[in-house]
Amino acid sequence: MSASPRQAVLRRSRDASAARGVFMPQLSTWVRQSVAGILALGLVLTLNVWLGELEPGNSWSLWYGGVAVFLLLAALALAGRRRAQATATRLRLGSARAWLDLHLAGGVVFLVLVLMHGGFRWPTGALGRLLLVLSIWTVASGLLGLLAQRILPRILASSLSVEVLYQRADELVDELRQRARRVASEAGPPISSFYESSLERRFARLQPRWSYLLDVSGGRQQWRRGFDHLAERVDDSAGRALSELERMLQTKIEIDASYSVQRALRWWLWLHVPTSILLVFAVALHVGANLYY
Amino acid sequence: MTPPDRPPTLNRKGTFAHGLLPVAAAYVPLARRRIMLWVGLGLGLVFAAYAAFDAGRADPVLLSSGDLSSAHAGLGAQCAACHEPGRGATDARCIECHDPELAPEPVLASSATGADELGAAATAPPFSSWSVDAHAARYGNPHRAVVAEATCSECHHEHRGRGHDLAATADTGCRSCHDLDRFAEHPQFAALDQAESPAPATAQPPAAALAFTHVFHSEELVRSDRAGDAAATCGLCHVPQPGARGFAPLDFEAHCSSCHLGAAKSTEWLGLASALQAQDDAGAEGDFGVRSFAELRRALGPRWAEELHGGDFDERRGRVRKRGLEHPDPWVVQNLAFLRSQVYATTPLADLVPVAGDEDETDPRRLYRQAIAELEERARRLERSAADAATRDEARQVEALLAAARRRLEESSQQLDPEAFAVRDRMPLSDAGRARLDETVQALAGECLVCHRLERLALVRVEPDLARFERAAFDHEAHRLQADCASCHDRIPELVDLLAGESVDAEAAAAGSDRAETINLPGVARCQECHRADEASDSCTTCHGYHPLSLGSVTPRVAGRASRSGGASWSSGGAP
Repeated sequence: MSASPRQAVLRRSRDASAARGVFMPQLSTWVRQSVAGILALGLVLTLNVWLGELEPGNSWSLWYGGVAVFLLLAALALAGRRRAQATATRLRLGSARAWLDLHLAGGVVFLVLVLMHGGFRWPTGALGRLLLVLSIWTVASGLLGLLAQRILPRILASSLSVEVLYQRADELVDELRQRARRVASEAGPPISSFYESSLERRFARLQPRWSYLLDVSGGRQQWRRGFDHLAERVDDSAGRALSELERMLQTKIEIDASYSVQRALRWWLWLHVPTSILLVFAVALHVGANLYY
Repeated sequence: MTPPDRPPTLNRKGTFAHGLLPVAAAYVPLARRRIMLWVGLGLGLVFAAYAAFDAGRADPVLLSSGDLSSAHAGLGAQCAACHEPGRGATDARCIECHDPELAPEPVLASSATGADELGAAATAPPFSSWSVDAHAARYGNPHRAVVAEATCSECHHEHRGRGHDLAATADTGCRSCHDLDRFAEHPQFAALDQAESPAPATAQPPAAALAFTHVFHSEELVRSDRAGDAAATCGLCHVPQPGARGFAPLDFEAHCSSCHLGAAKSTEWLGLASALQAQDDAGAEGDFGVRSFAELRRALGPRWAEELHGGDFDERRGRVRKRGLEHPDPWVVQNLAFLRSQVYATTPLADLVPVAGDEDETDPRRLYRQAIAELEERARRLERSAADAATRDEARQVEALLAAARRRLEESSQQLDPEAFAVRDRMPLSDAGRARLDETVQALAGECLVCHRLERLALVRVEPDLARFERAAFDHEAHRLQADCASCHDRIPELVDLLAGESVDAEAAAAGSDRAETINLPGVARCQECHRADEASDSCTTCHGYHPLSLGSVTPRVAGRASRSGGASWSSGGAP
């Protein structure tokens, strides 16, 4: 059976992509931009060392600092771009993806420029030290966030059966707790005793843990032992209630895990955004003090 | 969210997961992230408020770029002592303290005596007493002409902590102009390069002002029990200065007078010029004579003869002899000048400066410096010897005028006329006349000529503190801890053998390299054995200063950024 022209084009495209994947790994745009920027800076640094001195305060260093400030402001512009989507689209200011690439690559190159600006030395002044620490912190937290955004959604999609809206997690846990309590009380002893001694605290409230980032199952093998042990000793009706409680506990744990992962996806920004703004203030003070003095 | 127009039974379908969780009964508003921006802005404002508070404190912490070096630690938090608003740390603020006009008296004195020409660059005053502009004007710092735009702070970096050495600058600044990438490429030292150059004009080392042999004198010192062995004799004359970077100037009284001149020495009998003139008038063949003590005293005044006594002279039948010779002996010096005036047509300035060689005539500024130095020496001698206060005051005034003349000489770019120092033959001398002249000079100054050399009947000026490394500082003391003298100063093989305890033929040595002309310095290769990467420091500033006192200039790599007029290359700078 002969393939249609459209299928032939698609097959050629797939073959070409596969070949590129083998011989030239597919790198993100921002990674390629960062590598290109760092290589360019390496060349400039070589020229600097050859022709001059790698010394804070000289004209080479001032250029590094100036470009670093420009990149910091460019990276900061991503926030503005997000808050003015319509305007950016109308003015054709580039796609959000392009701005994010600029944000990421600009941040990495910014840090390299900051290190070059300081002559790769630990600053002697308090403001200089604060600037260096904030720069490293901001870039590192940004890269950490990027890593989280690459990994955590996969965990959410592949390892959990529930998809919980972050803001509804509390409400869902309440619902589950009420239903579990009802099922346990209707089943009577020993199910109700088991519920009160082992399960009630688990359903009590939303219980986010950092450990879910490493194991989203929440130690399933361990908590199932109690159910298995009891299931061998109860009749069928109690066994059905026990099975329902087990499903509800698994859902509760998945809600906890989902909430924990989503919380990490949201909270890394607290590591990044406020310190970035503080960095801008510190840079402004640094530039102002140097211009004045 | 459940649309209000839908039946409530729809909620039963809205379940998910194993736990059959219900869908939301109403729209769930998403949390806004704007609070993060406000928290960030809040942090920034707190930071700005603290910065403003810190700036107003006597000792700001946040705005300080770090501790000052220990040299400036006393300035503390007085930012305005160095920084000008909107202009940074300017040279003007540096010069407020680093100005020779404000420097302590000894620094002014050393720079005013022309010590730089005698090699004071090797023992230069600390930078704290220097001023770039003042020295550029006074001494012609070649870097100022090449990189006029450079500021102090471009090379001397502050706020690097108490232990930071402000004078330590990176070689890259030097390499931006000098065609030299590392110490291993350093050319031979100028002093040695001149002596060793294959070019005919400089193939021979310049004639020395003194006739001196090290081996003979070392042996004599051991023989007379002034030193235990030959190795100990070096330090008898080369006495380390306080601080031990260099050596005290050689001094006749301290180092030579125990054997040379003194009361036991005298001139030979010499014909008096007045008596010879009478013979010439009677038709006798012309001859060269001297002037008696009494004649000179009448001609030059009593002050000239204050250190002499008529009883030192024997006179009989038109001939005279002086008993007891001083250093320098005024009567001998005056009679040498008298003989010179008979044979050569000189100028008053030329009488001050013995001409040591033709090359000096190409550098009239150097001749002027020598003339001024000679006059300053005479003024100081007069000041020391004068009995009355009025004479001493006049001598001081003369010294001040000479210092002013020296400054004008260095600051002026005016072309100077070497003819002011011209010495020409007055009359052609026959061979017989030349022989008689030599005989007279030998009889008069024979004891002087044991060591000194004459050039056109003038004693060649001796530099008692001759520094061979004029552009660089060398610390002898630091190196004496590493090696003995002969391990570096090895250009006289016989002396090396002698210092090693071997017996040496002094006459053979004198016929070889054991002469004052021999520049007994190690070559740069000897330095490069230890000063290299990962061993002893090989940076430019280990030996060189950016602000040299002397005039040796260098060839810049960058075309068009010309050095001083006539700027010599690394290997052919000023006199060693």
